[in-house]
Parts: sequence; C-alpha cells; structure tokens
Amino acid sequence: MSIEITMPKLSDTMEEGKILRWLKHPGDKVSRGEPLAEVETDKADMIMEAFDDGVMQEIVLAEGESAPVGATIARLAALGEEVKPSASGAAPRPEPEARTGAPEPVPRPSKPVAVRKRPVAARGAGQAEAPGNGSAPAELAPQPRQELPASESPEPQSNGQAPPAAQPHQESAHREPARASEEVSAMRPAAPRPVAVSHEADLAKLKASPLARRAAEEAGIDLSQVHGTGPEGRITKRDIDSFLREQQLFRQRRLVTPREGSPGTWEELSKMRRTIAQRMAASKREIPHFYVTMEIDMEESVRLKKSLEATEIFDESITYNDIVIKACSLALGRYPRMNASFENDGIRIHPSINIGMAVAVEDGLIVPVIKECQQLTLPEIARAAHRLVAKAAQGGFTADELSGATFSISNMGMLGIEHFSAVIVPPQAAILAVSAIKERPVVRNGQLAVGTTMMLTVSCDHRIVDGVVAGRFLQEMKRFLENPASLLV
Amino acid sequence: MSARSIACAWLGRVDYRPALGVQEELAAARQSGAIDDTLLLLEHPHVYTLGRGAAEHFVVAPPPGVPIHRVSRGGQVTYHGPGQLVGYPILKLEGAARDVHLYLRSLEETIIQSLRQYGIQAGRRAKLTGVWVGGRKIASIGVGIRRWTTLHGFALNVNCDLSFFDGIVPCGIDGCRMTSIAREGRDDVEVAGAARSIADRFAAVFGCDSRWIDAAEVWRIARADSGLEADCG
Repeated sequence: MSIEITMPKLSDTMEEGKILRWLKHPGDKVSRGEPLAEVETDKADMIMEAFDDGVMQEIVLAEGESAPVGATIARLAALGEEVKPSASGAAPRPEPEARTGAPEPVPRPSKPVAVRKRPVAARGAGQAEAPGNGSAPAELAPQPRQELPASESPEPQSNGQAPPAAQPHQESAHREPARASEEVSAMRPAAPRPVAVSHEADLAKLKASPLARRAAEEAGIDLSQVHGTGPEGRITKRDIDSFLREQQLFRQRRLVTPREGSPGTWEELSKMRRTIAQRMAASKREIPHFYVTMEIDMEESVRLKKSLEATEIFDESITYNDIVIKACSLALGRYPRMNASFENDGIRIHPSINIGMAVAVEDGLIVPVIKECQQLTLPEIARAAHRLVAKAAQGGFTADELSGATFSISNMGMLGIEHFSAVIVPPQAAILAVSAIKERPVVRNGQLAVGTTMMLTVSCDHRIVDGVVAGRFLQEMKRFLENPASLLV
Repeated sequence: MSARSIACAWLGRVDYRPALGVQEELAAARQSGAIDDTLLLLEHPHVYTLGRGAAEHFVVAPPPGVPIHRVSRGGQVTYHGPGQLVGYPILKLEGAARDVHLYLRSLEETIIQSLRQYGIQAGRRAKLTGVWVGGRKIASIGVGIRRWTTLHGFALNVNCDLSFFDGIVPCGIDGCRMTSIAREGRDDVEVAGAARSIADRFAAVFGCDSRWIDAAEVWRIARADSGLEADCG
C-alpha cells in the first residue's frame, strides 16, 4: 500500500508549485519530518518535509516540473513493504508517455511505430524477455568503432537485468558526444539501454533545437543524456539548462554512483575538477614543456627565517614560501621572458609580476594571485599570501583574486617531496615547483658534508624561452636564496 | 498592541557569503527559539546571485571581478552592490502567517509604503513578484523558507549603479528595466536612511514592535562558519 505525496498548499492563493529538486530518490528511506523536496512557488522556495515514514517508491513529478496543489508528486512505500529496485527505477515514470502522447513524426520508416511509442516500462520488460546471449553483440555489430575493441565488451551475463550490450555504447556516447548521439539514436530500438537509464531512452528526445545543440556542444554535454520536454520530446535550450543545473546539484550532493557493468565507482566531475581537467589537458596538449632543476643551498635562508622569528621585526611571520615568492619575483624582474605569455604567434612580456600560488582545497586546487609582486616587500608578500591561503580555506574569492597571474608557484615542500615538476597554467610561460627543504649530502671543497638544500624545478614553455633562460632564471633564484639579505631590501 | 517584537540590525557592507552564513545561523537560532524575529539590513559589495530556478545564461556579460554565487532561494538572477539596501528577514511564520504568498505580498507592501514616504508611487505587477515604478523594477524579492522560517528577502535599489544590471537578465524577465530611488528623483536618500524607513514600515506591515540591536550582537549570535565552497573557474 503506497502513500501518496501531493503538492503542498503553501499559500491560500497558491495554485501550482514546481519541484526544484528532490532530496530523496527512489529506494531512499524517508522518516517523518525529513526534507523530501524543494518546492518553488512564485519567488519563494520551500523545503517540503515528509509526513510519514517509508521508502521512496516513485517520483511522479520530475525536477523542474510544475503541478497543481493536491496533485500526486511522489509515492512512498510504507515501511516493511518491499520495493523492487527495478520497479522504482523504470516502471513508474508516467510523464514520458504523457509527453509523447502525440504520435511522433520522426521519419524513420524502417522501425515499427509500436517500438518507438512503447512506454519505458514495457521496454524494460521486453528486454528482460530476450536477453539472449548471442543476440546483443550481434545487434551491436554495426556499432563497434574507435577504441572499443570487441574484447573489451565481455560476454553478456544473461541475468535479465541490465543488458551488457548497452554499456559499451553508453561508453562510446561519452567519448564522442555529437556523433555518438546520432548513432545511439539509430540503434536504440535494437539495443536497449540499461534499466537505470532507460527512462530517458526515448528516440524522440534526441531531436534537439539548434540552440540546444549549440548550448550542449558548448557545455560539452552528451545530448543522449538529456531529457527533452519540448514538443515530441524535442530537447530545448531549457532542457540543457536544467540538465546543467542538475549536474551542479549532483556535484553538491557529491554522489558516487556505481555504473552498471564496470567495476568501481564513477563520479561526475565537479566544476572545479572539470576546469582543472580542461586547462591542464590543454596545457599539455598545446605547450611544449621542458624542465630544469637546480639544487639550492638553503642554510642562509633558514638562518634568515630564524633571525626574523627571533627579532620579530615584522608583524607578519615569514614562511619559506614567502621567501621563495620574494626571490622568484626578483628573479622574474631580471628575466622578464619568464614572466610572459604566448599570444597570437607572439610573445607578450608582462609589466606586472603577478604570482599565482597553487593552493590545495577540497577536491582540487585553486591558484589565487598576489598582484604586483615587483612592488612588494617581503612582509607585504607574506601578508598577501597568508590572506589568500586563509581565504582558500573559507571560500569567497572574487574572480579578480583568481585571475591575472603571470607566473605560478606550486609548493609541495610541506609534504616532504624530493622534487617534482608542475604543469604550466596557460597562458603563462612557466611554473616553479618547490620541494622540501631537507638535509642532503653535499660536497664542499671536495669534502662530503651534510647541507640543507631544496630542489627547484621550473617548467617552461619552449615557444617563449629556451633552456638557457630557464637556467639563468634558476641561477638568479639561487643567488637570492643563498644570499637572502637581498630579500629584505 | 502585539507582544511580538522584531530585532532590526544595520550591518553595513557585508560580503555575500558571510551574510549568508549569518542568515543560516540566525535561522537555526530562530527555529530553536533562541532569538526573536530579526531583520538584517545591509549592503553587499558587487555580486551576482542565482536562485535555484535560475539558468546560467541569464548572466549575460558579468563585468570582470564580480563574483557569481548560486544560492538556495527562489527566483532567478539578481545583482547586489553598493547603493542597494538588502533586507534579510529571519522570521518564524506562525498561524495564519504560514502563507508563502502572503509573506511575499507583505514584503512588497513594506517597500511600497516606504517608497511612498519618499514620494515615490510604486506598485505590484501581476505574477511578477517585486516592486515596480511604472514599468521599471525598483526592488527584487526572493525568499527561502525552511520549516516555516524565512531566509533571503529583498533588495531595494537606492542609489546603486544600475549599469550592473545590464550584465544579467534580471529575474529571468527579458527586457526587464531597473530603476532606483535616486533615478526616481530622490538622489538625497542614503542606504542607511532607507534602512531606517524600511525597518519602520516592516514593523507596521507585520504588526510588531521594532527595536534596533547592534551589528556586533548579530555577529555574536551567528558565529558564521560558512564552509568551503570555491567559486573559481
């Protein structure tokens, strides 16, 4: 016996409400008083709470959809009642049927209309009937292409649940959005998709307005993932927007969902991870990197830091990171080519030295920028750097604080890293990788001794600078760090 | 004479995120009954905010350096900045007041009455929440309600630079034009002054007594700890 959840009346004058998002999903346990959904009416958004205990059985009104007050928007199974995952996933979803109630004029004469119009639930059942071992790969035959060797798609296990044939094609859809979606649409009737996504599997939804297609392309969305709500299930710009919104909400919930057929978990990229992925891949694709490493004797710098601490001459305590930034900005002032960008087949030398500091944050990193370092004293750099690090922990950077870097520094010293090299942040010319200051064997006057040293590795864009410039830049840094009184000027 | 009392506080200029943190802390305190209804009045530095229902494409051409925040309130895109009075009422709606639309209309009424004091005739437009002067919008409203406790609120343009609205499609209404108290001929009105007028009218419309509390008191109640959320990229 299921319990119906209806659109709440939040006002005497409220006629309909919109589900902004569901906070519970089919299969989730629900306790009385727990938030169920966010409902919007007019310009107010409200959290709706459960009145009963149970298990979410079915969502009737999809996110972004509206319904009149009192309409059923979801069903709850009373506790103890069994909820079959397949039933909750595929069967109850009346809206695609309702939406595509009009016959679809999709000109695809070779396919029987009945197949296209068959509601999702029926399709789910249909595939369970005929998950024949040999049949699925045969139907996939015209599909295998690109880097999907047949050996990668294992023999289907005929458990009648999720046809394994569907997995590779979903995979391919991810790799090549535009072409893949066309192919998927062409073969969909033959190769049903897994139950979990079958509610989306409607032929007509791959019809999309030109605006929507462009938006999808810009956002890198696979159209076959988007649920069309336009006439005949056509995907509109609005659908793309709500899909993007859902993705963002997905990110907020940090869901990790197992993907059927492949081991491990799969996680949607957060916005930050996507940015990192795009920029770092572009960097390694476009920029011919080369790397130069130098060992720096840090004994004098260590002494300087200790004497600054002992005398408390500055209000701000000075860290090694601050000392490196200061030395770096002085060295950049002498080698302005290291403080440059490759632009329109030319090289732009920047007048300001704006140093980006890579700071690790949850699930990624950000690179806040210390502007105009050439004008800043060591304590001023320290103050700016400490403020940015504190802000990184709290959030709330302005776009301005995260942009405009002309050079970057990545410091992994605190992790005891021996040495490493970093990926250039486009369009900068170089990035400095700073490793741990530690005791290392050194040779002095032909004698082996214990020294305190640090490895610096600079990664450079070979289009802008050559090895000799990178080497001189590091020599300059070495000079400043080994004679650190110069940093106090 | 109502026994209800509302504490009003002028916080000055506050960044969006800490202000949101304060609201959340106060809402939790209000729910538990630790504090009275509170009306926070403040001004934000330049910021664009997107409600839950908002599509990103309504932010058309944000000027550089203006951060964009996505927030859990109804409504679409809006701009906040210096010269705009922002009001965040943290109210526990009870009894007959548990009516979302009534609450929205009461906020509009508060602003309309306040503008009347400045000689500006403002009104409502059907199905377009907010306060309008002629065809132009002077105040935006967007609220969130959690267990019948209110969050977010309204933004009244006093003497802000309206060109910042050019970067967005305000409230998702294409061609929506904005105005301000200054634009309507009262360039002598300051944000803090408008805050006093709004607090006065708010108490009248909501039928309660208002009293002013110190901003420090608000910050003490709300040891705002708004977790990490990077808005980069």
